Amino acid sequence: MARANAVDALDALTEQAIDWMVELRSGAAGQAQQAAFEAWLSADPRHQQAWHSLGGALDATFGQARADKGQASGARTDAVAHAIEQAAVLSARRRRMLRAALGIAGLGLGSGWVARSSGLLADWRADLHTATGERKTFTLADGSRLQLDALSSVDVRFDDGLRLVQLRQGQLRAEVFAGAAPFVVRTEHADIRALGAQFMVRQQEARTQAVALRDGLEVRTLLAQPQQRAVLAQGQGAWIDGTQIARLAQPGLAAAASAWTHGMLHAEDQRLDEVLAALKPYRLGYIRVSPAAARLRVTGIFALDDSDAALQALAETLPIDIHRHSGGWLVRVERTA
Amino acid sequence: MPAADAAAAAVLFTAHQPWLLERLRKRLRDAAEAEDVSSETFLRVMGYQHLHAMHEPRAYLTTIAKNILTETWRRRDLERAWVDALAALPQDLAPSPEERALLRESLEAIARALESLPAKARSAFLLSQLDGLTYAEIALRIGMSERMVRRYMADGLRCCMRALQS
Repeated sequence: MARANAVDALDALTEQAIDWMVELRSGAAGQAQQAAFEAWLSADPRHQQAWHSLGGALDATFGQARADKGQASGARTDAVAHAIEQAAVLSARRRRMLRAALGIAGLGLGSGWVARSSGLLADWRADLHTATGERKTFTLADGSRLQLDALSSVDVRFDDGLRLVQLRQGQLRAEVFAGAAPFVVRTEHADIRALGAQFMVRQQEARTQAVALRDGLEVRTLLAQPQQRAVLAQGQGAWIDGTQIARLAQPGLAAAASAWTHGMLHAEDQRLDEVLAALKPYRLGYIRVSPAAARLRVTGIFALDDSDAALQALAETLPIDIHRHSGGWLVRVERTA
Repeated sequence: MPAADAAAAAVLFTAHQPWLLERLRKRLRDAAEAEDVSSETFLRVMGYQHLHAMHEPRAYLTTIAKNILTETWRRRDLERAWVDALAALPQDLAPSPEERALLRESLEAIARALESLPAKARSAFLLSQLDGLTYAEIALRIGMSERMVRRYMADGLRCCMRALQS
């Protein structure tokens, strides 16, 4: 019977909890087993602790994806299993490549090696992207145009039923060419569907902003149950954090939100850290802002393409000190004492 | 950040940032990606204490950059594989948008916990956890004995515990 476990055993209490979990989920456990389990559980507080840790580990792994009885089709589980398997194969291949490309031992490898494998490297990259300080306009297969802000990337997936643009990071302005299939920009938090010609989408870590520049937009949350939905008219906007939609309708919103397309940053009573975050795609290196300085409010128009001048302008109008280190690579912003 | 570490951070940038960026640029052939990885690398280094006591900074930076690239690629691989797997499902078996959103949220955690399991063990464990199948049903579906299903269940649970502990 002795067979080495495929996965090394854990401490004795955890192993007991695992044995019980295996027993109870078998679908064949009867009342006797249930009673024996309850006796084990109440026999020692450490048993309860081990049991709860195991439950916590399952929750942490599966979240809300865990089984509700009766919904099983097996198909989605196959899809999950298949995706993990495929990703493991791809990742193993990349790890080997990465070891060779970056490893200390790989220093001697010529660039020819990298060139030969660049097909592999290319397939994980976003379809369209811009570098630091670079803005670029792309024309898509259907004639629609995407303008990407600096340090932005998108994947474009067009098929018969849907024109899908996945915004991976940064911001874009879309000019939609009228077509039969819906045109949707998807971020981590929302689907933004064009009801008209022009709109702007910006993705931050925890939220997405959408602004209708010409004609309307429909926004839907991607993480809420049930899904939230809103229609925005021309000139209106919204922040979507995945579960909620907060509407924006202040005058001048559209002009401010699309100022970057002309290389300008238009701040209207914004927090300093937000303004600095907007400069970030135009600078190499880091900007660190102290909490006291971050809360200062900023109104003004700044040139994105000359971020040093923008920092200078901020220093002249706000009670802050700007310290530069390492040739401007590290910038610290602090509130004047 | 203590003064000694702040000074060490400044020295680190000046001395090694151009080197790392150049190295990444050459190897990745993608300026934007190279800058991202370089930035993220230094950002993480800034979070470490006792920066001034760091030896072999270039080996250290290379290791961190490698980890960042591995993580990024892993996420992208998984996302791509997931989209492909969904696309391969017959129309009438495809999960609803709600199910998809829930699964997608958990996918990374599931993959991280279970990636070291053999494919059969993973499938068996997922059928129990995600679909609530009995061991008899799983045994029939995958073509293995119920005793093997039990072993795989225990292995899967151990993997989840380990993922939580690490």
